Amino acid sequence: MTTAHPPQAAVGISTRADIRKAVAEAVNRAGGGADAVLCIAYAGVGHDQNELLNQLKIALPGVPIVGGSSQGACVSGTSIEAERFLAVAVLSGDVKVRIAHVADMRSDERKLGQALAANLGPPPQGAHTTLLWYDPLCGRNVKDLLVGLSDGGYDAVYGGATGQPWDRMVATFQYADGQVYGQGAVVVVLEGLTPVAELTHGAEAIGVALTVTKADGNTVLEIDDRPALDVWCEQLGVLPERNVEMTSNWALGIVPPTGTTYEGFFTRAPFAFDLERRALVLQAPIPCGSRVQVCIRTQSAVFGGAEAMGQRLQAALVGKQAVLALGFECGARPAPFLGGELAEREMRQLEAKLPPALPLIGMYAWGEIAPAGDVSEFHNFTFPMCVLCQP
Amino acid sequence: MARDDNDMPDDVATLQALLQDKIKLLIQRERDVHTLVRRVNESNRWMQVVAEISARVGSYHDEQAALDTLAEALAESLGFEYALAVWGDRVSECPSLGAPNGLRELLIGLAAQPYDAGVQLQTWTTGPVRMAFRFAMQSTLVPHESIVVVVARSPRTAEYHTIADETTHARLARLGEQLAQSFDSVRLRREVMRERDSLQDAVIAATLELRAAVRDAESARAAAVHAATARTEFLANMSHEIRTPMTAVLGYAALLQDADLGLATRREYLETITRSGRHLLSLLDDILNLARIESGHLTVNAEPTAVHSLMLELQALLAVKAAEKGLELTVRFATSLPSMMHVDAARLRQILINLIGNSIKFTERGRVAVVASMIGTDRLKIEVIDTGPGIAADKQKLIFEAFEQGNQGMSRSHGGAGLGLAIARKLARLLGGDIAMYSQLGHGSIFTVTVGVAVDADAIWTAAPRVTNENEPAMPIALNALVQGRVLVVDDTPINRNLFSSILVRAGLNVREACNGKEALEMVVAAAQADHPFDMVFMDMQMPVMDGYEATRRIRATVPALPIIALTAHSMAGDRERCLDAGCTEYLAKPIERPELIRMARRFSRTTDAPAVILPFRAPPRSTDRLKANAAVDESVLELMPTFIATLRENIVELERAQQGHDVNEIASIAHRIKGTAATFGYPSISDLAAEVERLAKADASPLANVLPDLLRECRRAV
Repeated sequence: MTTAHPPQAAVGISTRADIRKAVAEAVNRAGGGADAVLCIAYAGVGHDQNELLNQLKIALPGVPIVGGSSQGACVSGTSIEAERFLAVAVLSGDVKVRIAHVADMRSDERKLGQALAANLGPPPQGAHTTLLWYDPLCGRNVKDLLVGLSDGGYDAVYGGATGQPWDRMVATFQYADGQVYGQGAVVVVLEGLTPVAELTHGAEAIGVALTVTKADGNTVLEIDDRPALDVWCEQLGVLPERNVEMTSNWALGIVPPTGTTYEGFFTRAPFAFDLERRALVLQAPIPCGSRVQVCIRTQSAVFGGAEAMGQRLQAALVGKQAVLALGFECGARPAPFLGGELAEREMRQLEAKLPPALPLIGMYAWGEIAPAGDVSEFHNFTFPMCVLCQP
Repeated sequence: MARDDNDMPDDVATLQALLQDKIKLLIQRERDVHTLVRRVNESNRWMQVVAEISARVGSYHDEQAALDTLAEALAESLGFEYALAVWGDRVSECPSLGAPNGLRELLIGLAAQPYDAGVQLQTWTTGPVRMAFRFAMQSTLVPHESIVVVVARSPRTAEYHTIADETTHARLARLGEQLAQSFDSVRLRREVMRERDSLQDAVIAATLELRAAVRDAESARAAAVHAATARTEFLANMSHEIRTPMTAVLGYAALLQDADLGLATRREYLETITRSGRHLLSLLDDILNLARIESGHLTVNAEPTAVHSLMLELQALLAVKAAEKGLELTVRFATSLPSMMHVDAARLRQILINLIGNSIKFTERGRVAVVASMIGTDRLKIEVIDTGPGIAADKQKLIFEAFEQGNQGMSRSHGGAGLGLAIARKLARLLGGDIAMYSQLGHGSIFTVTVGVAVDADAIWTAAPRVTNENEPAMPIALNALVQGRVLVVDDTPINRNLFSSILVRAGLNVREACNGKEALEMVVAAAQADHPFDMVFMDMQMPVMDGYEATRRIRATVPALPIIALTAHSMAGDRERCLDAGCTEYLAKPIERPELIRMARRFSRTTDAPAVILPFRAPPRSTDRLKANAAVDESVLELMPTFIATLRENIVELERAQQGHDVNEIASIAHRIKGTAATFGYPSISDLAAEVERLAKADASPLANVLPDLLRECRRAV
């Protein structure tokens, strides 16, 4: 359907240290923001977040700004991981925007999801896309948040956890309602744009099949009736007190539910280690009885998966009017794993499969959200790509 | 000669005995010498120890370090592997322990435990050591100013010893006395140092205090100078602000005396005079407003308010100004908002008009965006964002001060007394919030106003509407649409009747008038019986003969479906409910703006599908055509302004008469009339004073005598 003011998008990025100059450069590269209806922004935590948002508000008066801090961003062939950067995507045209947020995720996640859905109102009848950004550091069960959103009718959600540099975890930030939040979640519904999406996980299963035998929410307490941390360390040959934090290359793979079309395991990377309970803390639960297997990210899996995802997207976009590609790539895939030239190579490889000159903006997320089958699912080590298209 | 063998043995034996005695003596002497030497050496060592301890004690500032040194020195001098020294401290009344490094903490910890705690101990902390230590650490067993060497282990015998010989005890006692003296001198020195430090601290504190006082005095002086300068600048500015329109008033008034002027020219001159007068009034209003806030006379009247509507109404009101400058004015709701919330709508409107108006005034190109959101359930936040010139960092604090503007040059080019933001911030604080500002010189500003609101538990929260834009305005507002229908305007004040009728007639309605409820009731009933009913009634609620409440109730009995819109100068919480309870369909609070009146008339008119001019939410191209459409507001008021002034003049005479006759009922009645009309004709300060007089008169309260002269004075100034 062609409308009077078809949706359009433009993207821009700046690595300038001066916030005002960074905002001016990124927004100018994104076309200046005239007639904008939404700005998606990703920034490094080295920038003063409040100052950044104020500058963005002045550059784009009245335009809703969403997004958050990120480990890095990719904008149309450029991959950046830095303390200070700003990447923006500016949407304009006939797109209706609904935004809801919670300032603090530290309560019943499902109820929060339901409250977000209630604030958004009933899901639009027509084409729409739902996006989510949230803080991963408050250790909440994101899967339940997704269930809450689904209770309110928002079944297919794409998004990612806001991030910070790949280092000691300190803080991440979320943008909504003209404000910066530190432990919040932001949901955006874009009416008038339909998602064409794919994802790839980039990890290979190793080791023996195991069973989760005891769990408490998003904490896995026991695997094969033994403390989960002990099993984890035993599988990887590390010592809990010495080098367990160096195990970010590995994740637990779960067999997807029957009937789900997916290229391999769902991956859940331990987000923290509970030395006292000898447990693994994840961002989403693995139910008791689940068969799991240790997975490791490999370059061949990453590049192979990205290539395959690009081909699937290419086929799915035939005949579609694509507006903007949104990437939510796991922060464990770029530096120190890929990073720099390799990360850009992966992005270029993927972009080659997308329509020419399609604006693309991606974040390096600390937890990825994309539907698998009929329900929104939480992932790690993955790279969901959601291309917003005219209906 | 031969020797006698018998004599020899005796001699030998004697000699041997003598020799043995000598040898014994020698051995004894040697022993004595050895003992003496040992004692001398020991004494020397002891003296060295004493000297060393004295030197060390003198060099230590704390007794504990001295005692630890003592323990080490004693062990060394007494030839022990280690020693523990317990010092009878007369100051702390508690024995202190000197011990080799690390042993003290361990022993103290062990002493606190039961003897058989099952702790894995090293040999030197077992049995005798620990027992002796525990024994010695009882304060009663250690005399003041004495040293007891508790226990020591001989490296030769690997046995534990306590010091038992009297010499050592005597030496230790002497050493204890010396130590006490040393400690005394150490303590004294420490006291002196503490006293010195304390004095130094006091001096530093006093100096800092003095500097702070000087700084405060300097800043107070600077503030006073600044205030004086600001006031001087304000007066200069005011002088300019007042003289400019006054020049126009006087000049055009003189021109009007020319009898040969045509009607159109006269009208043009009168309009200029009126415009100038209104400008002067707005200045006076600002000053009066500020004075009232600062004197604490302004009260907050939280009433149920539809903030969505209020925002869009303000947008409609100010879009014209924005359009005139080619600016976009957008309104967005960033979060869901309750459909109704309790807040002082009049004050909130005043704040926002000031902020948005300022942004429009100072922004030459780009956009002014207003973004509303809720913070939790009890705070409303509204951001006014512009792409104007911004404000320099050093001016940002000042602009909220009365009589200040970001740039004095600005006041010349943009006008204004510099009171608006000061008033707005004071009002925001009065509403339980504040105004914050972020600005980037050369790029724009963000003014964020937050106010406290109350939301009913059962309030309906409406999801944030999409961003309003040109293609799909959230609430189109038709200003000059043609409206059809028969309307009855009921008001006891002729000038109000005339004004409302004038606006409604211009909108295309057929208008009849009634001057009280009884007359209205008769007209409504007659029209219904004649099968030519009214389509709606605009009903003033407080009138002589029969008030609007009674009239509405009676009309309802005859014509149940007739829309009756209450017009009232009351804007107190609960007034709306009172009107609706009486049977009114809707409610409008005075002063009533033309768009509100027309919108209401359209809502209840027979035909509402006449082509409407939609006031866009984005700025239309530069054109004055649409401005002219809205100028009708001023036109209607302007036409009736002479009548209002004449009526006010009459009101003054009546009021003075009532004042002389102490007729509080009459005073209340006249004040009520003034309250409604003054607000409508742009005299909010008179209206507020009249409201206060009405309230006091009805209560027959003594402060009436103070407030009534204020009202009279303001009215006289107005006429």
